[in-house]
Amino acid sequence: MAFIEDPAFVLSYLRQAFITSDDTGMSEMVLVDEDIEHWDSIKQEREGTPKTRSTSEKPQNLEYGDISQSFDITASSLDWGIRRRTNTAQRLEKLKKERQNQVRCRNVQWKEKPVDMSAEEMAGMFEKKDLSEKKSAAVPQRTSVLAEQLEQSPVLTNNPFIEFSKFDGKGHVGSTATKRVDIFLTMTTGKERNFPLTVVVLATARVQDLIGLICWQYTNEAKEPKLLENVEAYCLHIAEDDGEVDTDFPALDAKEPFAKFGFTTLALVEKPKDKEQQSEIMLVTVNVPHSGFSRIQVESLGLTMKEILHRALKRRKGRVDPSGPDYVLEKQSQPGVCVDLDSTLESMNTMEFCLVRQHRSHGRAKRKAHVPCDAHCFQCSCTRGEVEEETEVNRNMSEMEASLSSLQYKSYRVNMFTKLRTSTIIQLGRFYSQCVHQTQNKYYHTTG
Amino acid sequence: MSKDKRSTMGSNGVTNTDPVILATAGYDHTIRFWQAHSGICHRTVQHPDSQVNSLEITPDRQMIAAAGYQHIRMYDLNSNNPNPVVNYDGISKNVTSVGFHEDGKWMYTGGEDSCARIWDLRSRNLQCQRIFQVNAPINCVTLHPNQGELIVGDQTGAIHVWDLKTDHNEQLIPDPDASIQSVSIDADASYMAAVNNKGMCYVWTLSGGTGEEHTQLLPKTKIQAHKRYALKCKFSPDSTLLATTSADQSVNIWRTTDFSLKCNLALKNSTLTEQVQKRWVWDCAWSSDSQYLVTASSDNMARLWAVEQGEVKREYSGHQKAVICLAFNDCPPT
Repeated sequence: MAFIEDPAFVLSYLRQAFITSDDTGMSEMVLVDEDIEHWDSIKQEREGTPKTRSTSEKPQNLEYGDISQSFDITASSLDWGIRRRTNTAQRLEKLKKERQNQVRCRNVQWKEKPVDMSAEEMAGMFEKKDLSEKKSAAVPQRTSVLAEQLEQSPVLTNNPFIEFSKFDGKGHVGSTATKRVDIFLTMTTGKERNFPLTVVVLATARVQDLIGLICWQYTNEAKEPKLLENVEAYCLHIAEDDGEVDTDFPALDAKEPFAKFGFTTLALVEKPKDKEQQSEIMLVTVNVPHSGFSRIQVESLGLTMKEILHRALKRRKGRVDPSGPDYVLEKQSQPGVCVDLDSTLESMNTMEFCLVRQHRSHGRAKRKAHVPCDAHCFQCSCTRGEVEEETEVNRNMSEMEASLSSLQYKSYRVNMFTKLRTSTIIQLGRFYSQCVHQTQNKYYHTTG
Repeated sequence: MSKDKRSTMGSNGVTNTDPVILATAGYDHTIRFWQAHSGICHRTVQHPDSQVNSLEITPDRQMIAAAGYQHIRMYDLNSNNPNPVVNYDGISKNVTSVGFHEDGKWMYTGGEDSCARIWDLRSRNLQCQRIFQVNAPINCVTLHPNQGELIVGDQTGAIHVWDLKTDHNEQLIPDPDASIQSVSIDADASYMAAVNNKGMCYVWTLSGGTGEEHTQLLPKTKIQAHKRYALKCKFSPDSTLLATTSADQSVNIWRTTDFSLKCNLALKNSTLTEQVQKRWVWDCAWSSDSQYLVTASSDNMARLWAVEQGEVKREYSGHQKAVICLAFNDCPPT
């Protein structure tokens, strides 16, 4: 830019930049006594040599030449008070901090040149100690402080929650991100109940890990009553500062990282047990349409649905051919929706399931199957239980279905009558997915 | 060390003088301080830039020295300052061992630059830096209980006895093809033991070593202490036992009366935890009553053993990488 040739512009620019970027007030102190005459001389000089510059290039009302004593331009008028600190400033501060740390840390450099020492000094520093006296005056052996402490502290080696000790943040204060929480222990009584247990947890821990850490610390401090040896039996609730549990909110999700919650006071609560759980033996009911049901014993809620399906099939071996079509589980309360076999029993929130073949559901699809169907291929699409018919066949079917949608349907039994390969397209309502089943059923025969 | 002071420790993370100090360090660039009786880690300090090869607590129990690559750093034991308070540098290569004069007059170090050094600790103007150079990287340096002689073991298998006052030195080589890994002298200076990388343990009886007299070494016995690399040897404070640690994942305890094997401290596979990681045992330390031994090993753990029963009493778990050194002190000043 040609402006840079102009000293008045450069000066003015610097001046304005100084004023506008200065938020310390230093510019006022420095610039207020600035010699204005000097500025004027520069200005005149510039105006006195008009031939070298074409005035048309420069509008007359250029502000840069105006020297004002006013410092009304403030940083805030330009960037609304938010002045981002430059990287340089941040870096300088970091360096300063490091330097301060180093000042606190004395540095001792090895000196290559050995200092000459007098014999006296040498003797003082490196005199050999006479050990013969010590030998004679044998110190009577006493139990060490460690032994005393070990005796006093309870045996902790069998703390069942030891795996969670790694989330303890007590030893990390100042070096790693940690969170401090006060935990009210609702299972304790008396004084213990009124005072929270302070836990320092690593910021990386999940809620489940924090529960484990609380249990570990609880056991370490030998609190009574003893905890159940299962972290899944406990949950964390929001609590008031006085220890009152806020039951209006659900417990914190065990799988979530704890750091995302901002709570500093929580309460450890034993999860309410279901009826099945109370008898210690949990039973899962698996209904098989038209063939009764099976009760399957499960030892924990952590079992996957796949395992439960496997057990159900095993139980019903003989009555249900496991080598035949694949079976899936549905919730009894939600017919037509297969459960995710990889999820746990706990996440189901129910203990009653229904065993169905994969290409039909135990409610609606079953009913469809009652319809004697001549078509080799039919398509039905279900949206959340509503049936939309697209073909003639399906319309007929829905009429049939309507007539059959009484409670009677349960008494019908579907048997395979003849074997003929057909292709059936079924759209599962909930998932909107379309799957093509190769079935061998053509005709369905209803029996009483 | 008053009891009330101790009781304030823990909840707020502030470390006060505990009568028992246990610190461990290794390859994860941290030094951890443990409550020895509970197994709880109560403090962690960062040791940036380098692993820690050796740890030692000052005799006044005020500071802990950590020897790393090219420097020795001192951390305050009685505050929560996560940064070192003194940094000794100007050394090339790794510093492999560090120790102190019993009155804290000076510190000795040995390292892979083949030099053993004496650092003045008292003041800045009275320097008594001393240096002793050998021909091979130094693995271990031990101070004779008479506080006047340093025993230096190097990688060529030589053991040097350096008289600090006269600079006189003697050397002996038990096996020229093995590297000396560790040397120990018992508290009343009657025995010296050294272990090498072939698992051999050599024992000498000591005489002399007072006044102007140099220590005389008389070979006493040699034992095949381990089948593999031996890493550390330490006499118990009451001089009745000798512990040797090894790459064979165990610690052997020997009686000093006849140097027969008393017991083998090793993790049995039958213990509750399924995955027992058995790794090299790098370092060990005795309790002052010679009843307990703390060990540091490559499975990221330190363990407290009851020697008489031969079983693990406590485990110190928290390091992210191998633990290769530890410092232990359970002798509060009376």
